[in-house]
Amino acid sequence: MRTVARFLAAFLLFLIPASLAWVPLAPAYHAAVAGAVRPALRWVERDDVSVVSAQGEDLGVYRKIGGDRVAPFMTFDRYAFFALVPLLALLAATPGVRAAGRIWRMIAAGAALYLVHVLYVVASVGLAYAALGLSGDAPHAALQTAVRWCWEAAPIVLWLVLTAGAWRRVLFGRAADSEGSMPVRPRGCEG
Amino acid sequence: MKGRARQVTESVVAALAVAAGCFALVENEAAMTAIRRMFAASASAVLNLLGQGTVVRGSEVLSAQFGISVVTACTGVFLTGLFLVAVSAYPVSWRARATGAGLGILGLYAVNVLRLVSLFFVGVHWPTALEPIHQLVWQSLVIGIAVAMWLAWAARAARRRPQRGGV
Repeated sequence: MRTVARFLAAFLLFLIPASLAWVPLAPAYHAAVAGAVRPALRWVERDDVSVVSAQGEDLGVYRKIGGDRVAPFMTFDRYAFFALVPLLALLAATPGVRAAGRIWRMIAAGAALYLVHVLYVVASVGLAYAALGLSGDAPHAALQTAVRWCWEAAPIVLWLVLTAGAWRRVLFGRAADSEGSMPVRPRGCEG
Repeated sequence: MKGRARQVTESVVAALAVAAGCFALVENEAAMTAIRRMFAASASAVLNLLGQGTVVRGSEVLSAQFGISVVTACTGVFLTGLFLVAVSAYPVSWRARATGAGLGILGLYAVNVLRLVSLFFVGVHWPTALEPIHQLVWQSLVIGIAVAMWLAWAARAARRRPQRGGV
């Protein structure tokens, strides 16, 4: 229990400055997501009908309505991709991982979550077009729930996958070792 | 080896069954309406204990000063579902899994009611901070709390798990 309490305290300790840092960093992350969403949407759509813009705090998707005119279609606000911060906080707080291992896990998790965010925007736009009858058949509502669930679950699943070994060692004292792990404590020390 | 394979199969089947159940629940509008109303009623009861004089209208909690609307995302149903999937996938006894699921549902319910109550107070006294606290602070806090609850349960359940033989 002490390990879990320490983990929660470390999580909060990392979370506070990281959340504050997110506010000025969010536009850059939005621009990076938009940069990947543009070619992905062009690849997915039969006609080139969407314009993606990351100006200010929001990521906006516009639909071409003839000539040079576009109409706002969907907006992802600065909180839509905030899950990156709790994911990094979870990784920063996980005990039993050396600094190098922690850094590569953070990079891998950040890259994977970035990919999830890109896919989330592309899927949301595609499903919304279909739901409005603008492209293809109307999707089943369950598909929208599935996309939403993937978006919500992604940070926790990524963290769990990347730290399962570390938690096994720390909580249960198993000597399954890998590069980057801390020395194993004897079973019963934590508690 | 046979025991290990059976354990893994059991965990995967249990996790998939629970995920399918949670998915069906979210897709059931009548059930989600009932859950939203339950959260609104609980939050209103706590707020009234604290002298806020709120009333519940559907899934909205209203007072003379401020009001909150409980939507599906506000019920924590996605996170609770994920918690239940993680509990059901963990290779311990069914009794331990049932205990974890029960404690998790109650614990996350309580956390979510606390979240709604706190957001109401923020809305009344510090309205400019409502959106960041709603989206940034609480979104992270519930993730951290759910993960910590699962870890605490998993560590305890694993200690009580009967040790198998060497092969």
